[in-house]
Amino acid sequence: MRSPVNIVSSILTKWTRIFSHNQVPEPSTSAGYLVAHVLGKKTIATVSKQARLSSKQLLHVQQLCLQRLQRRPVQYIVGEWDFCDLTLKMKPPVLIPRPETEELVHLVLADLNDRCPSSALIMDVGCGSGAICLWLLKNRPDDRSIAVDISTEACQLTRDNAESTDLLRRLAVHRCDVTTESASTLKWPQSFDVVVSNPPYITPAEMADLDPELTWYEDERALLGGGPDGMDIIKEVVRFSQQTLKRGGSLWLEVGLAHPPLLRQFVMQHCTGLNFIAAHPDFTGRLRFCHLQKS
Amino acid sequence: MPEAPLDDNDIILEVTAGVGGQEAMLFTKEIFEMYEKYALFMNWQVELYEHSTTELGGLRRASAGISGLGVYRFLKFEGGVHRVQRVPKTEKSGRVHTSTMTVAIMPQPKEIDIVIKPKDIEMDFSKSSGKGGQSVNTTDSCVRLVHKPTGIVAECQTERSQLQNRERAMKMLKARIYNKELEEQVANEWSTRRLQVGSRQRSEKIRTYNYPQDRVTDHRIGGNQSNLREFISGGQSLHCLIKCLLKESWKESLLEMYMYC
Repeated sequence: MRSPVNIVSSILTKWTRIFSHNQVPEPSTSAGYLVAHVLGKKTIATVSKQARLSSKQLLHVQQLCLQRLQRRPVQYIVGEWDFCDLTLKMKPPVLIPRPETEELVHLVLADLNDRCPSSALIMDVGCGSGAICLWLLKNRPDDRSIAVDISTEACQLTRDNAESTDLLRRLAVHRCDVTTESASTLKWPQSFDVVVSNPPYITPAEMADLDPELTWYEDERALLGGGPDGMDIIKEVVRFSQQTLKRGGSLWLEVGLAHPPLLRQFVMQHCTGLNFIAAHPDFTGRLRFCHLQKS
Repeated sequence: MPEAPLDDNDIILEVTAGVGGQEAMLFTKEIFEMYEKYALFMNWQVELYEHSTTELGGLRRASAGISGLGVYRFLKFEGGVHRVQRVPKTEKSGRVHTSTMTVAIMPQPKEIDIVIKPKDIEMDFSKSSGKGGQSVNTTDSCVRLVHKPTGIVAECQTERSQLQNRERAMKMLKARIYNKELEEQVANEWSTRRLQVGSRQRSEKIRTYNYPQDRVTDHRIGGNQSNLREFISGGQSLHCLIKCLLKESWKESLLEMYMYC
């Protein structure tokens, strides 16, 4: 006996099949999140597969799934996503936080707790949705942060997320291009305990392979690292940090998998006063997080 | 009443449908919800780890972490087989059926209680395109952990954040490993007590919920509670029975102490 078309399990099966047929990545996961969203839940895990959808809800599911068929990322369709235990608004073209970055913030937190037991000043370069600075501020109630991004949309989204998480009081957001800032135009020389950044680090070769979810919807400025090895922006962030870090302050970077050894070499050869402390692995066991320190 | 060593530990509650097909799975859902409501009643925090619903309604299996004051103390005797007797919704002839489900209560280990080497844990997660990081958008955040030395597994996909799923899977994994160790320790202890905890209880029928007669019977202390609907709403009624069980257990442990000294 066929199940009625308006129960959750049938809807999931239908849209998984349609997504699959159209080469949409993560077909069943996508269907799950969109149906859950229509039913007011974050994930499909707690939704009864037996639940029935009203005709209004069925229409809503269809509208969302049509967007997914156009390769719009689920996070943009749903309009929000979770970063660790923070729920943040998501809006194109601002970069959607990646799971690896959840590990970066934990490393930075451990460093802050170790070196700055009382309060610290944190800079987030390329703040995007604000995930990094907001998570750190939430977990370090006495800290303050300045977040910068080249994109006005990112700055606005970071401010919106700061407001909805009640952290705006301790955060200042500025639109700023760190590649054009020099020591004379800097407003904050040598003030920060920590500079943290997830700068664009994708190489030109990798760009060609990216899914439409990224190339059609996310800001290219948040992805393209610049230069043949994708390291241009990373190097600018390092230079910028050298001028804005306190003595003994840390720079934490998330980079591409090929970058840690290249960055170590760059720092040794070109950055007097900065030491490459260590590279840390992500959950796949590959080195991705670089810790530098100003001597 | 004196406290037993694990009494202030947080727990993992696991429910599994037993005998009785769809009816058993519906009953499993009702009992799981009863404990969720009881946790609310007691001001405890509940974190969902696993939740396997079925195509035709009901709950096959679920796991949740429950934390707060005295969680293990109050829930430790809820472990065992719960039995329901009623006319199923799908039953046409009006015959009463008996179905079962199992509740397992596992104390969560404290930091010092358990040492797990990171190299002993294998983590499975969504296989995103080779390079990961900025180069791909991932929404599949399901995490599966395997403890290689024991083969014990824990999986979580109830959250959108991969890190949160990983943290919950880790809590489940640690609790399962810890409980395996605990049970190996007590396996050789001998006790005639009716109120026991651990795997010895896993196959013991501890309580029957009889709908036609509107009563709940706990088989360890006897006696009946009426107003089944109130009981299963996880409030004062359930709390009263639990307090009776604790009192009974204390009496039994005193008796045992005096019998064998």
